[in-house]
Amino acid sequence: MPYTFHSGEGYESGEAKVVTRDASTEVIVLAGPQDSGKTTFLLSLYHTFLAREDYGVRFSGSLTLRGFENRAHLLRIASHAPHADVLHTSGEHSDYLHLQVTSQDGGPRRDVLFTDWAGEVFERATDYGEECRSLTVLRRADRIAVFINGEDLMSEKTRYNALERGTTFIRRVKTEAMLRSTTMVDFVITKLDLLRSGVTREVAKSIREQFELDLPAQLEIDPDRITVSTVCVKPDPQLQSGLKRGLGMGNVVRGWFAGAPAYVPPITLVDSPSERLFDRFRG
Amino acid sequence: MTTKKALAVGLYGAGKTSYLAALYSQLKAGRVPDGARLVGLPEDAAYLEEISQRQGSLTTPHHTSYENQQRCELSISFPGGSIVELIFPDLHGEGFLDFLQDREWDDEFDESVRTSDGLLVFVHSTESFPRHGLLDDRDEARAAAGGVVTDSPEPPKDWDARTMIPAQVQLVDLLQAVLRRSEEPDMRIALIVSAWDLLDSKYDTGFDWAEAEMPLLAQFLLSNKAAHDFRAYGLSAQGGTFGEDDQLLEHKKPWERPQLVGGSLGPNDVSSPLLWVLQMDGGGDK
Repeated sequence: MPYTFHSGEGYESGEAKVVTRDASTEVIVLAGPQDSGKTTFLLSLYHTFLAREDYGVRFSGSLTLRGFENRAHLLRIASHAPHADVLHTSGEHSDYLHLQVTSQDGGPRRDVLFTDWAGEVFERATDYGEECRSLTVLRRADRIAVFINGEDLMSEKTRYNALERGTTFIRRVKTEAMLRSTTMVDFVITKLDLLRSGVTREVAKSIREQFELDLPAQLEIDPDRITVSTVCVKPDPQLQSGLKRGLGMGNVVRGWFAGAPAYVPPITLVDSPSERLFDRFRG
Repeated sequence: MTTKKALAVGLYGAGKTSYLAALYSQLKAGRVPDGARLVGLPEDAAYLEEISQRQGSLTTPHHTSYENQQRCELSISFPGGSIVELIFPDLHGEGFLDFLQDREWDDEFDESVRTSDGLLVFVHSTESFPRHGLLDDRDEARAAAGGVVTDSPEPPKDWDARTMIPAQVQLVDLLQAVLRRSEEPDMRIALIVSAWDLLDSKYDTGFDWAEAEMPLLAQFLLSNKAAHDFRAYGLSAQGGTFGEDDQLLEHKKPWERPQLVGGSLGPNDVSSPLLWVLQMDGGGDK
């Protein structure tokens, strides 16, 4: 009988426990509206390993390499796409992508599962408590990274709605009692090149600083648990902004993977499925 | 009497056949250190003889035909009674892509994976495709050159895992599957970068090459070194390019032509990676 092994595509929630059974796995939820740059960010992280960019983190393995590759297709010359793009995530609760990393100076390997949700999932979860509660992984998340489209911040007409939508999502998660006291919350403002094309650098900086100042009070979360970052993952070549590809990503990645893993389960090998904390998020 | 097994893997055109031909030639001539000898000849030695003779006569080998030759095994004896079995389960290389595509492999390969003590991984120094070239790199280069970032003249292509996943990703995917299935917890890995002469001394070591040309693979090896020690070698099994370097090569005997970088048993000795992965080389630093 042939030996079969995992498809290498994204893990569904039930499958993801294969990873957590062997190690203390971190879960990072990437949330945000469509076109906010979630998948692009994740694929750029993947490409830093392919191209040996130095963010202080070293690739150690991935059980979902095909999942990354499938999504990266439209970024590659081999696709013959007119310009770089990503395969937009669609559908219901989507897959989890897996990476195992170590720090550049050695140290323990850490398994990380990233969600890859469609924008619609974010919208429905923000608007409806039932939808949010169905995303049981939120209870297990070590980090929730909320992506905000920098392009939406260019105009005053759309700026505050975009910022508000991101904070409302976290407010919803808190309301549904799904935000653990140890979960970190990252707000990632993407497309910095577009943002700066619409406002001055000083205005962009003040938007971010004000946002950062207001958040802890708005969300009633310890300021040490919140970060705000701006990134330019994939500058628009037509814009010729002069911004380097991946600007700001290093700070986010180092923040995610520096130091000890955020969550270490009390038991690493258990027999009873109900004792595995990670299983709480099974749908 | 102890028997150890080494498994050889690598994608199409990675240099597995050239290595096998060179090793076979050195074994038959008794030119492998430590008195290693062939344990007789395989039942069907026709293919081995063909590739060895072609290499000996400075004739570029045919790329291994998918239909005609996939699996090859060599048994090598050492003084003291140790036996080494070197298994090439898929000389052609397309079979490994089949495994990755279908996410399964047959019983014969599974048995080889489970029972092997060491792993030889072959990559070609200059022809390991596909790469992962990004559209953004292309567009940035055009914009920087003052050119127009135009649409591609060809229609977009659907994703094809078999032809579009970069070689380094395929290799990591394969290694992960093999190492997870292996029953040898400390399995060593020898990365053999073939056609080393084509690099013209661009890199000092096989690992320098890996860091520059296959960073994902290099990081994977480094990160997992505690469990799976590895060494990287540069190998020119032919000693040069047939047709271009013949005048230099024809004065050398076939077993004197291979050039190995990173070995501990001599610059011509192609058995060094094999003996190292099986912990039979008497030690020595990387």
